[in-house]
Amino acid sequence: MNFNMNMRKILLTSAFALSATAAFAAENQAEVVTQQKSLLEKLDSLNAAVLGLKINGKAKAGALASMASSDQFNDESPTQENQAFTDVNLRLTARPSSETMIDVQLRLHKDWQSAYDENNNPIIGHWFSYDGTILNKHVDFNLGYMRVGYTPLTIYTPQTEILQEPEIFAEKRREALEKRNLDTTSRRLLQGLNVAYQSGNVAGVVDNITAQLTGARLRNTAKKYDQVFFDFDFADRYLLGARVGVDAYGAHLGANYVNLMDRKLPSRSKDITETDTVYYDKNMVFSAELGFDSKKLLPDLPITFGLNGEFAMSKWSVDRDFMAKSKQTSYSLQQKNVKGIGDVVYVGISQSEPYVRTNEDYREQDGQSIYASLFVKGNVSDLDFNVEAAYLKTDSSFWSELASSPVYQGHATILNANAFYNNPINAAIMETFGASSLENLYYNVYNSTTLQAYNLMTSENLSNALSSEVEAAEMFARLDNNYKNGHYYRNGYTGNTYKKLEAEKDYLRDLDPSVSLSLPFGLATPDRKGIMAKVDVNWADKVFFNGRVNMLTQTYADYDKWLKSGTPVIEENKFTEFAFGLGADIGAIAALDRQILVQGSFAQAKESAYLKRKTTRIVAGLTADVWGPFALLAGFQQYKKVFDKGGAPIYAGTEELPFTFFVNDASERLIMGGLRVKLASMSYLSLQYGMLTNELQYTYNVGEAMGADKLSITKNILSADVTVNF
Amino acid sequence: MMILLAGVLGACSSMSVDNSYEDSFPAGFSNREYVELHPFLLTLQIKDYVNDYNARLKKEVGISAYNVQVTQDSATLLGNIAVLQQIYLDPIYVGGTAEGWDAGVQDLVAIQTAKAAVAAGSATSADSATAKKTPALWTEVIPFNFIGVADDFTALKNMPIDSMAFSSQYVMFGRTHGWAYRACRPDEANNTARNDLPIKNAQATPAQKGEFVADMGLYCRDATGVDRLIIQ
Repeated sequence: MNFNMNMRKILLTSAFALSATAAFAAENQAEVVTQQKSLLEKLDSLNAAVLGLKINGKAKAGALASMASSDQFNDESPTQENQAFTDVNLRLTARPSSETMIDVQLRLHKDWQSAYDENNNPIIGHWFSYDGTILNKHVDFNLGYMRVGYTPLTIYTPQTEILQEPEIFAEKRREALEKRNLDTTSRRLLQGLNVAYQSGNVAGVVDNITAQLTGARLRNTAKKYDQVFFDFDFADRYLLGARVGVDAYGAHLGANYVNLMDRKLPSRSKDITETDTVYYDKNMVFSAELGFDSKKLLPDLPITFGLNGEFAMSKWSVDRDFMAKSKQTSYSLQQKNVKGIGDVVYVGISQSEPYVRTNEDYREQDGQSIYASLFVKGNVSDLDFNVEAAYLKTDSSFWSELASSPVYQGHATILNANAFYNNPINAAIMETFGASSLENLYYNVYNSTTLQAYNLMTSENLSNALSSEVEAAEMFARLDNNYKNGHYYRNGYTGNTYKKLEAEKDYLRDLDPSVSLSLPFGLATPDRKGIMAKVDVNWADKVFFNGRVNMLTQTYADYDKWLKSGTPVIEENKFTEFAFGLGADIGAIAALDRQILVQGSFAQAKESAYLKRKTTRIVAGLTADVWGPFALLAGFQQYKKVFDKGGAPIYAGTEELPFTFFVNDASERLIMGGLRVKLASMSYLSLQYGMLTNELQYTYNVGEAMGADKLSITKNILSADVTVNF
Repeated sequence: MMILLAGVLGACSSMSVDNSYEDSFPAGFSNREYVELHPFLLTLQIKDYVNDYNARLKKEVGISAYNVQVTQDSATLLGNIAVLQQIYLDPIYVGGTAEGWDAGVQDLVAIQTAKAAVAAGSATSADSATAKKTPALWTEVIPFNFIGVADDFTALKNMPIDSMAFSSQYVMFGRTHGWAYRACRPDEANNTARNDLPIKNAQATPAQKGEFVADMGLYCRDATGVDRLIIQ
């Protein structure tokens, strides 16, 4: 348990940003709610830190071997991928005074396999911020990287919620998130300036008046799809956010404003070709929130009740630049000899029709969303409980980008990415659909690879970094460069936000509803109406129960019926989602001096129309202190996705040989077990085994042939590592 | 001729001088009248337009496809004597005379006959020499030939005229060179002719090579074609 606490402390401190997060923004939607709360409370003591420079961090050294087997690998395919590494994350904090702090985090990563390729190793700085609480604690600010949350309809991060997620899983998920500077809170990773003012009590009536201003740059380079090295594009997107709020008599009243825009100047500094189109996206959201908590007025009652509500209006518009033919006339003085008159100067006209950059309005939508929830929570003789019921209605035209971009992206192949497949369809499935969602949720690979001309990708016109000529590969393969190593990762998470046009095109999200089937974009998901309820119970930290029910509908255009009848057929797609989880600390129940936590949960979600998807998740786990320094961790998770109507078709293949496929059924299973040994204070040895199976049933159409097949991969993963926190 | 010009210019969107440049023009300046006095300005613009059109076509379709079109188009135009004649006789295009036309047609027929003889293999040495000549008529009409257009005369009539080029020419060149900008009124019939003014010689034979003396006078043209100073 100590280990858990320390791990979380470190992770949460690195994640900590001093943003003022009122109402539900600070509330953690993810994983075990009760555990998170106690951790957040501990942050206060951590932050009352000493003046001067402090170095903390985490060092992890170990090896991971993943052995894959599949009938769909081809004969030459590698089946094993090994990682052997030392990874040190240094956190430097400098406090010139007790009010402000400079926070710099650096990562050193050495892969042992390439240790002799290049002995120099660059340090990657991945977090820079200056934070503080100044002016007699009235003003909080963040400059640089920060995490900011406003409300679920304005600035928010939808998180994956897996009830009673066992420690062995949760830890791996946090580690994968951490590699992308992300955490499990609902706050969003941003880079810019955030200032929040808190008045404190005013005139004995108003408890608090808050005002907050946030400005951030959302992307500038390469963030369409961060896949190609040096993949700079000239997109430049900014956020301006502001909120005000007042608290009195337990009630909270607030207004939030978020404005996102693409700047045109940087994009226009670069020429576009005749076939290019550049889209400029604007998204503005204004919301009003209302909250009430009875605790302030009735502090003596063991039960408190209240409500949270938000009403938001959004405006989304896109205009675009493209090259259009335009008639141009230019005048010039010309001299000609005219018979009988002599030399004459006249104004010559020359007409041309060049392509010129043209801008036009492309799309525009306004929408509204309303969300209201009632809660009752309390503590009655060791029984902590929280019951919530909520109503949600969001227009199909509502769009709030910063609230609608989950950090889970998935569709990556994390382990055994070196494998080759026996036919183009299987290869295409792995390229698009990717490896299992459980692999994406829980595993990540981080490498530092020697960079040479051979693996430096540049513009499509260049065959390698040094020459536009196609030359013998041997010429460059051994040519090293001064950057020595580059840090690469394979990771299923991202902090990037989706513009609406990008989100609309992401069919893959339909296929991997790992965040939520009914609310893939969180509470701000467009075109939803319905009710949600949740219950969390904690009996003296011994028994935990969680329950969730969501009943939501989406308008759905039935194109099959539409074609037959000739008139539009709009129906409802009903989502039914429920989940419950149960955990028990047998150690605590039996009054032993150790933790023996047994957990399990079941979740199911389905829809009545569209693809008729159905997902089922079964989770079980054990976290037990066995004896002395030894702890046993185990976890089981099964996740099944069925698409009764077939998935969304994915187009793949080459121009000569195109084909389509869709996945109708995905069955995934992850079994993990391991031993954790406390070597010394803050030092742990961890030995783990995991078995990951993924089976996809799909149908394909290659033109002359159609059929059904399956892709099944099993991965056996062994890992051993030593972690030292300092 | 005046009627014809008026017809061409009538097709233009705006014949009055743009207000914002009003100060640059003498009172009563009109594009139409100016170009009626100096019709070759219009001719030059038309030639440029045709040339421009052909150059863009060349760029668009590529040189080889363009050359094929040139060959086809030449044959079409040479075979269409009626269109050829319209263009030849029109004062704002070639502006040829009836006698010139007759001579030109004779020349054309002679060359075509010689070519036919060469093709038939019955050519005399004189025929061979004639067949290699380019018809004089053709050389004169070619600046008005849109490549790939069958009826060039109609195309020329429908071509947009940019009148701004005329007024700009007056401001930048015509005025300082003493070009008449309007017809003389009856009471101006006896004004001093420009040819009698010292500026005429000052411009024609400058004291130093390259020197230019701007003509500060304004001129009208009388019925006999003499430019006369307007008394301001």
